[in-house]
Amino acid sequence: MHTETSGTAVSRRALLRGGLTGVAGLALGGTLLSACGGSAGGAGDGKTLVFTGFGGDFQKAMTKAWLDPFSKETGVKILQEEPSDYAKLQTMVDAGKPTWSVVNVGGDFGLGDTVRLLEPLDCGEIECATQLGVTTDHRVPLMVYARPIVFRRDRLSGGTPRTWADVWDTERFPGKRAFDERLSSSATLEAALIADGVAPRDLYPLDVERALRKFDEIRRDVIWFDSSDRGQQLFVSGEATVGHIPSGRIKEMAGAGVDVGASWLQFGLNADYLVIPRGTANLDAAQRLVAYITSAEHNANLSNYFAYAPANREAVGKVNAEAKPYLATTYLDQDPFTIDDEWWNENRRDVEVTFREWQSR
Amino acid sequence: MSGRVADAGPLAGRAATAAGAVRARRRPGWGLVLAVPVVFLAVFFLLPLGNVALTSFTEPGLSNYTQLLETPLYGRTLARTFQVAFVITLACLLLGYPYAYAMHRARGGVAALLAALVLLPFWTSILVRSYSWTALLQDTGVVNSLLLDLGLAERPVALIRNLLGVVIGMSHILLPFMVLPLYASMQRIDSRLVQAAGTLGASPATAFRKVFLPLSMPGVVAGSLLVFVLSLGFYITPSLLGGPADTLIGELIVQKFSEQLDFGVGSALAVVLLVATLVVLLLGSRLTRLGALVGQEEER
Repeated sequence: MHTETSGTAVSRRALLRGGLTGVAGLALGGTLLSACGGSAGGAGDGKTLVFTGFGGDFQKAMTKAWLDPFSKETGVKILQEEPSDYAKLQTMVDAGKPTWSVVNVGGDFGLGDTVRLLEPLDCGEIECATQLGVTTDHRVPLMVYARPIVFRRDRLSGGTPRTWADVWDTERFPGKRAFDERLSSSATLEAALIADGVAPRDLYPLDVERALRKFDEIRRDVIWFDSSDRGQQLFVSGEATVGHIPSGRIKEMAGAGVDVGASWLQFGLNADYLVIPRGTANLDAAQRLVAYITSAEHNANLSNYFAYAPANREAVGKVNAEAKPYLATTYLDQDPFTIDDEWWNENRRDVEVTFREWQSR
Repeated sequence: MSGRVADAGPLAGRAATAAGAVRARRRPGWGLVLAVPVVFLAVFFLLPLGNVALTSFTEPGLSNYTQLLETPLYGRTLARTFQVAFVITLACLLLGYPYAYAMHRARGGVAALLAALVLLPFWTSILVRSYSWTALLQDTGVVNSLLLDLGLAERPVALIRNLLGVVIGMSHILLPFMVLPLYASMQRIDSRLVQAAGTLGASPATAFRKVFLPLSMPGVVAGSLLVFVLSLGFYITPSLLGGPADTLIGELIVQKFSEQLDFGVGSALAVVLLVATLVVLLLGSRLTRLGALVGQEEER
């Protein structure tokens, strides 16, 4: 671009047209790329799998807890990719040659329409029966977590919030509220309803309008975030005083010296899942990897590297002692509700539009 | 694509440097060189684009478009996108014109420094720059800490998660696209014309207003068009620096594809954005031709 403009004799229109053609491409490039991104990966020789996750420290922890030990034990080489872009997964499966073997997805994937994109799991080998979360024939949880109430202790005087109603009490607990806007997996609307007096047992089907009316009360005080990294950043920088965030992040922040506290009352149980894209190469090895990760024997190993809890009930007793205060499974006696992924799967698009409309008001 | 290539013919003939291109057309080897980018664009741009357009009509069908019409969110977001693009363009023009003028007037080391200052950020990732802005502008960021420490503000000033944040971030990123065409256009202005205005009794301000400014209009139009059109497709920066009420159409498209797997409505939105962009370009190309008449043709 700059080489073109520094020439003095280039026709203005030629320059303009040349530049603009590229620009039109840029404008749409972002959306197109997600639909046709190529990928590295060479699953196909019987000894290589491609594991795809959301990246970051969580994926590094999974590598240490499961992927490396699995490779060592079985001789299967594991390549990694990120992030778990559902649109990419769908496009790959529809194109017939998914390069991904095992994919870490959120609770918002692998139900309803998207089942057609997935291989059925071999529950003979995989311990499907002892799992928390919403386990089906096509997805099995690799860990459970929650978004408990989180606060910066050093920025509050006069007690700390315990319930969601407290979170809504901006006079007692002044400061900005950080809320996750990925509604279908974050229990954000659920939190508002509980604050409004709905019993956790009666949350679903969600009264979305009521939840948004509740959010109207603190509208000016809410900072929305759309990734856990950004949510964490809001608490670390001190922009947000109160809110919620995946529990693993609380340990990370506390470890980094941030004065955060949490209240494990009224929380929703959430899980991440493993799925196998339909038509993947090395299906047997993929099933074996899923079985390995989710087994009672290995599932708790993640807690040694990242504060997420095992989803396999049989593994709960084996968690890392240091991580234990930050694990959702430690507070199962508080009777958490389980986020209804099925309801969300059916209503996500409508809720999303309603929510964006509300936000843009 | 072929229309565009053929179109370059008469234009190229007019421009001095394009003489080589005319000569090149007679050499067979150049056809091959030209074929590579054309094929590349066809396979990696036009084909997927066609696919998106097709998806918007077939998955599941025309209902994608009726949904766009029936849901106020989409129309409102598109309108806001155009408003924001307009504000960004204006901001870039106000910042970029004096800067380009300074570049044009500067000599030697100063000119090189000014050019480097424009180009350096240009070579840095948009994501990095947007994140840097959040570090500067957030409530506990550098700017607000300074304001609070100096006692210039009682509480943090809202610089982020609103339109101001979007305008600051996007103007910064898009400024080079305004400055460079402006500068190129100014460099083409025959400085003797401004001098002549002076010898005929015009004050420097009048000479600038009556001679230099009109002659630089092609650059103004080109830069504005570039910035405006680029703004329409932005989504990283507004998502990081804007508030929930500042969502632009690009963000909605990403959400539709990646979060909701709603390829149909997502594609329809993309097609609407594309058509809107093409309309702007069409209108713009008319303006530029007028601009070229006022600017380049008159000076001969």
